[in-house]
Amino acid sequence: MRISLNPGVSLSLISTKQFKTTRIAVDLITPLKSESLTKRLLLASVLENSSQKYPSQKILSEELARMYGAGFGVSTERKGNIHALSFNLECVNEHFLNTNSQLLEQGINFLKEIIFKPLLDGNRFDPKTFERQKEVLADYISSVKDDRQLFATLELNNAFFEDDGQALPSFGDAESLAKITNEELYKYYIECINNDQVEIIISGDVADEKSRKIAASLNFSDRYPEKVPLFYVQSLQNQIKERIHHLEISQAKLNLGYSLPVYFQENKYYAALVFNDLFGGQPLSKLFVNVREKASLAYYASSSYDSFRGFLSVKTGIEAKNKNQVLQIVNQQLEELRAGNSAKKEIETAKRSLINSYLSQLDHQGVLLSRALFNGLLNKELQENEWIEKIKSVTIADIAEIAGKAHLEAVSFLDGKVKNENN
Amino acid sequence: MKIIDYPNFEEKVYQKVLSNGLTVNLVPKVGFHKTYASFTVNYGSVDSTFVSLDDNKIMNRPDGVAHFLEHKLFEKPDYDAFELFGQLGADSNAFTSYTKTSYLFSTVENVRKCLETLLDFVQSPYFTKESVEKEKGIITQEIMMYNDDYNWRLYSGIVENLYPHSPLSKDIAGTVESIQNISSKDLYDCYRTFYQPSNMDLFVVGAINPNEVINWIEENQSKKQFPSAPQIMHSKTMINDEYDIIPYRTLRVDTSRPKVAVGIRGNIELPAGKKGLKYKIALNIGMYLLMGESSEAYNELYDNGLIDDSFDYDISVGRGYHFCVISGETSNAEKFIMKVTELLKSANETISGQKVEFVLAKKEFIGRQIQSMNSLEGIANRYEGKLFDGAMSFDAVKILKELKMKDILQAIDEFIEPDNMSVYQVLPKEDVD
Repeated sequence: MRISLNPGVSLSLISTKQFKTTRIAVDLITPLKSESLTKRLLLASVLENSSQKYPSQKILSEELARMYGAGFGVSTERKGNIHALSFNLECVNEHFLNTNSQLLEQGINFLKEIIFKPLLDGNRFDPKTFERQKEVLADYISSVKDDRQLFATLELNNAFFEDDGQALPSFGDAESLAKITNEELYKYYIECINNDQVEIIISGDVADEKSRKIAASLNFSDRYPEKVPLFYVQSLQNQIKERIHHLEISQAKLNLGYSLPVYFQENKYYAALVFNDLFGGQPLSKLFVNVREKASLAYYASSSYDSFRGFLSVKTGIEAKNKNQVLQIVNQQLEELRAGNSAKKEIETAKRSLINSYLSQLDHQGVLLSRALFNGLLNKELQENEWIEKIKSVTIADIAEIAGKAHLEAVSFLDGKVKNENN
Repeated sequence: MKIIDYPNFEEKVYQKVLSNGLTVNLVPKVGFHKTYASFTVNYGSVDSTFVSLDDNKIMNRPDGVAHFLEHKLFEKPDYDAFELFGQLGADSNAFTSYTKTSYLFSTVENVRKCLETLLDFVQSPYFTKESVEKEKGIITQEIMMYNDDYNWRLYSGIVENLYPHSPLSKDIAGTVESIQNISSKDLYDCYRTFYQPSNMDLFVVGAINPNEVINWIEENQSKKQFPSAPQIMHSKTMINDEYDIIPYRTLRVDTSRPKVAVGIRGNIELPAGKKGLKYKIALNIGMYLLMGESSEAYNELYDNGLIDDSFDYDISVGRGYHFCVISGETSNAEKFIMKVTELLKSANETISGQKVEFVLAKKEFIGRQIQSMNSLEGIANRYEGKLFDGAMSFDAVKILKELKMKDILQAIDEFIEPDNMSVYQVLPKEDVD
């Protein structure tokens, strides 16, 4: 259930006895802008690590311990054309503790402190926190290349997307980070707190009335945020953009990026899900079976589909000399799907796997929060049965049509110029 | 069937040891959609040397054989178990650790068929020369993938330092060279030795009715014949007495930031049964007080730029070993090592002054334990079988409540000794010291 608390501020309630915990998410939503990628993440880190009442990590962690080890985090997420700044808290339902503590009340008061009363020094954040978090983020950005799989993924993104906000990594880049001043970040914070769309989500064994009271106590002001289309749409590219890097690496990485202009909860969305599952979405998919099991060419070979950006990507870890053979096998799998050459049994398995994972996800409280957020933003909520029916009704022709839409536009390849050495 | 009730958490565990020796644990979870099952054999990568069942001779098998066996068990003459699970709507997987191999599935439908598939495929070995040869290519790629993962290299590097020339020092998957020597006969030998029902347990948690499920399992097991179960001899310790701890090693690779690990090896034998779990929890609280996020040391190191959010300590406890790895990325490896070592050497003194923090730590650990009961996988995977005398994650809360400061100090005192520490670093190439 989603209700409007005041203009620009909504509350979604997921009342359930299934879990031993209560979760609260406060999501601030704004249109994605490339120049704010790094800023928003830095803001999240600064807010996560100190506040007026909890001026150091030590004091902050102790408060969380006092709430029986409440889980807490501030994070950002890029999804389609929007950029979320999320405050998350998870605490144990007192019912399972022999205590008089009111953990949910304690938790919401804690969140209030974090969101509205950061540790300040005039019109800027506490300089010590700001500088240290900037350094930590810079260190992280500089070490991304060390994770080869991640690096291959980021390079593919960068080659595929035309818009900077999508092409850059979700954490932005070192140059924009270096330029952010403390004063500027504080100004940005004030903007976020006053203008961003607010989505509050509460899940747990909490009565509706109580949830409403708790959410209202956060006291977010009225706001009229700019509405942007949720989905990022990019026109078809005629050229395949390629990124090649030579690194010290023992296993080469070959990633492929396809345009797949089908979006979340559209009519064809369900066919796209089934298609992805058949193609490379899970270990029984064509990619895994043919690249790994039959040809013994890789340890991993999979695809994933981003329905907020119309983007299909393939990841493989292979021996560099097999690049062309792998490319050919991947392409061949897509051709098979285009030609409608899928066994009935395969399609059934794919559908079952999707339904299994959809229903299984209902057992994860965090996933429930995230589903509630995006359903809320779309103002569209499907019942479990409807979702399952839509998956079941996908036909082989639908799948072939989707496969026909997948259009290769980017390749990233990391290979090992030097053989690995041991100490 | 024995029922263990945990009224505080509204949880029950149903337990039975079947006539063939298999231990079964069932945990129904109200409101859940999914069922998760894990079929585990008390056999892992460290068990490559064992006593033959036929002639009591010591057998040596190539490193990586347990993991290889895990991969190959899915393949049958007329079906592939992995595919079968898929057709039933289930996800399946398997993993091998130092001392265990687990086969698992999770599903929202066809629970009975999935359980039978799990029991049947694990209990009917089938290995051929051809399929063993083909698997070598796949596992070689897997090993190479891990080879590029510097965090993994850091971890295996420090473990090798702590347990030189012992089975623990070997990679779980073996090496590209060692696996070339694995034959189908090796797989059969290992299978016959270790995959006996009495050396295994089945854990099922989720949307189940325990009385129904135990009947399904017993019916399935009663149809099968198992050879008589000879005693398996597991060695008591992973420590190879002929070799001292390697105090210090460095690996230079193409990385941008130094990664450092400080390791501590537990030299005493792990207390048996539930006392072992108590000891493990005490060590965890001790380390938390010493260098957890709310400790003074953590805050000082963090604020001074010596550690960042990658900093972590991890206590591993298993059959025949326990050790702790403190690791992180740092801009100054030397100082990191110095500070962490100093901290460890004065651990008892530092911890004993933290009476208030200890009360908070207990609260935090209790809360975390209860949070983990939301996860089916968490409940099943935390079960350590014989190691902790069948303790459930639900039992940990009681242990935590009863824990005293003196338990922490005693555990830390026994664990940390100046000469059971080691350092392993993964450093950038250009960084010459």
